Amino acid sequence: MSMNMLLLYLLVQQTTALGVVKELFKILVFPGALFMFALALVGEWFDRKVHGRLQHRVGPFYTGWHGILQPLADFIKLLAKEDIVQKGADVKSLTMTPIVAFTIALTMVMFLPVYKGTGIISFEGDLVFLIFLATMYTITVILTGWFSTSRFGEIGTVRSGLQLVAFEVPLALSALTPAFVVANYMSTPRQVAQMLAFMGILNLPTLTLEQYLLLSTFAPELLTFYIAPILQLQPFSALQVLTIGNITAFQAITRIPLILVAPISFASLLVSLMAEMEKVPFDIPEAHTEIVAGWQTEVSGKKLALFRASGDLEMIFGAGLAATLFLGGPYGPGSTIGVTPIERMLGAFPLGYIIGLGWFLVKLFAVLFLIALLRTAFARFRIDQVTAGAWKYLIPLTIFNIAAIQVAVYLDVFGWKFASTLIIIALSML
Amino acid sequence: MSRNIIPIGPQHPALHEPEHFQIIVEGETVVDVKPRIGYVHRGIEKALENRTYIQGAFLVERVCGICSNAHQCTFMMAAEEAGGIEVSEKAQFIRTIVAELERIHSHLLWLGAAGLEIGFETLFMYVWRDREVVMDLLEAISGNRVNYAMNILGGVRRDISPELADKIRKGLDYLEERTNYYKKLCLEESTIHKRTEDIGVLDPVTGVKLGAVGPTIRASGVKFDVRKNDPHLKYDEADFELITWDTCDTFGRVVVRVLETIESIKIIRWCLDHMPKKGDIMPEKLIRRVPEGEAYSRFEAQRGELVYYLKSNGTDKPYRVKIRTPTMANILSLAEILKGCYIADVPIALASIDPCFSCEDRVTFVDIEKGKTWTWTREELRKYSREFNEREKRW
Repeated sequence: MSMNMLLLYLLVQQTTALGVVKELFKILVFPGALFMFALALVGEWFDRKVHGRLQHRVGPFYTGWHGILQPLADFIKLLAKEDIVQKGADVKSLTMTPIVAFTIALTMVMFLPVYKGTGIISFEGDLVFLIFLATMYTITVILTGWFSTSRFGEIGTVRSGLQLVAFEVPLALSALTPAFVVANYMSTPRQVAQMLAFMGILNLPTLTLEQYLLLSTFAPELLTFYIAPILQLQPFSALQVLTIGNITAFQAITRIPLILVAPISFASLLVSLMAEMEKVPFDIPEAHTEIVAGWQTEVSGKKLALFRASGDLEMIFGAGLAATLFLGGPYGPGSTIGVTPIERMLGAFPLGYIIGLGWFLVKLFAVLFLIALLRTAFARFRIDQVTAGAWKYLIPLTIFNIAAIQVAVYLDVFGWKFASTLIIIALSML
Repeated sequence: MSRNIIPIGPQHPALHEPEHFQIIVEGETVVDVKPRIGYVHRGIEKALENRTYIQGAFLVERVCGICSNAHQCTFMMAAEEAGGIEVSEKAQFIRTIVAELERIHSHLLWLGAAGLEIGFETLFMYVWRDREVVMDLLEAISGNRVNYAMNILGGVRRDISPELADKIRKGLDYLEERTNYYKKLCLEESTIHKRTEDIGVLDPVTGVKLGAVGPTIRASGVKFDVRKNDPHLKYDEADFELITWDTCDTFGRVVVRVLETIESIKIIRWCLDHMPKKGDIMPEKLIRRVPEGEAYSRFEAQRGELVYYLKSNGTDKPYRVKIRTPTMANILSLAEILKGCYIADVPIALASIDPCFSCEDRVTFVDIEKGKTWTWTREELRKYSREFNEREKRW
């Protein structure tokens, strides 16, 4: 993350001196850059280990406990390697692309709600921004192959571009499906109030009597201050709906992970993310037996290290996004809230955060396992088969899922609760 | 649409040996292929003329690492036929067993490599792990994992004891179970179908016309197998089926190889059961000289029909040896196979004939434009090399 962005971020937050330190810690250490980088390396190790074990191999083995430090060792080794740029390459641009790719990847993971409902960076409509960032990442990849002016690099670039064209639409559609669900749910003031209360923006209506009394003793002004605006609440706007924090909060309140409502979209998101990450059935832009290493053929040394690290970060982002949008993110089935109002009031260390982090990691690694499983089970497709498959099957199926949800919602509005429940159950059975 | 030439090789990630193909494409589709061979010519035929039969036996093994036993066995069969040397019954059985074990190892190796060509790394890992079993068996029989050095004039060098036979049977049980699994996988896995079906089509008429051999032509539905058509060793008695497949494409070649592996297991079992308990495996006195004569020996190697022509002159060295390897016979069909493929399919279509370029490399002097061929003597060759080096200023 650049210094300017950091300063801007701090300005927006209007923090004090201690606040600045806290924010810096958040961004640089936990759950920001350092934690995410470590998580990315562990994620790569997990992926390689599972992949290896599924292939009857031992996987990484020597460095650290069961080879857990292998990705870090690889990273350091690559940093120390000679950085070769061949004749005819656009040197300046080729030096820039890995840095840009790494920055984008690091920015993307900052949006993940690691331990509470929102990530370090969050604003209204951040889901759309994330999809945009994911596209930008692929575009840096395309540019890398193009700037390298290598024959294999160019073929890889073209293939990468074709894959982008094929999977951009299903990725956006499936990532936005949860937003459709939330939009339908957040149409009455009562539900909006419940949501806001849950997120801590509005913290009274759901209190128990004891909590109510406690609060009225310690901070009576909050009571009058917060109850009044409830009656004027508006349904969620489109931007509010397209916010990761709201989608996770929705899943926590209703206690329905959205994978039950939109299983096809979840599958579609996973497939599109695998295409974006160039994992095995879709590793066409870097097909070893056809075009050496595709777009990264001429990338070496530090550049390769950065690309590999950003690839790992992207994998964490992809798995984290799927876990957040469809599996409930840091909210487990039991715990409702990251921080209880009591904890917030007393300033106690929020135990909910630790539980939230645990749940998030469990879900993240579950998705990573799924990805490793899928990439073990398939052979590489051909580029024409992939694009045809994306447009013929993936997009219509995702649209069907969204349409089915809409139909269920309308039936619900017209009072045919039974039919609507039936549709939702049928969807979750898929 | 405009035509472009895409060079594949001599250095290319899909090729494991240096060979050059000029691929002429219209858009993404291959319309014509011009193979050019001769990058790794090693002059083995000539070298054999200066070596005794015993030395030659170990040299021909090096023609090909994967079908080393096939080469040695064919060479020995040719010499035995030319000189009328008897081979004992037991030696014939052992030769058959080693040949079939080698076929299993080669077909499994190919299946894994084909998996890698279509990006199916898991298949590669699984198959090559199971291939270790057959490698261990071959090591137990011959002492070597490759280049088994089993054959000698009039017999084989190592015996298969009853204990070893039991060990082989155990290994075969495991291999049969695994091969059946791969058969199921190849017939049912959808991505394999997607990447191999209707790719690299070779219709039987063209295939026969161009002289294709081995699994390449059997996948086009032609019943051509030296083991059945002109049986050598013990194949006339052994109980096995001639595998063919009629899809004429790369998928057919995958299936034929997998099914042949199962047949090979059957043949080895039969051989182990019917092998005489007692008997010499080689003549008591080592045969060094082969009486005058000539012979033409055919052998069904893993990649297809392997042919040795041998002329002996009564000394301990052959007068002339001519080798025609299966890839040599298949290379023209390969050009036909590649036509109509997409560029992305070229690696797997190329691999589908199981090419071994180092075996088949030959050198001849041809001027295509003037349409003439010529021969050079050693002096002329030396003169050319001097001129060439002066021209290029290498010294």
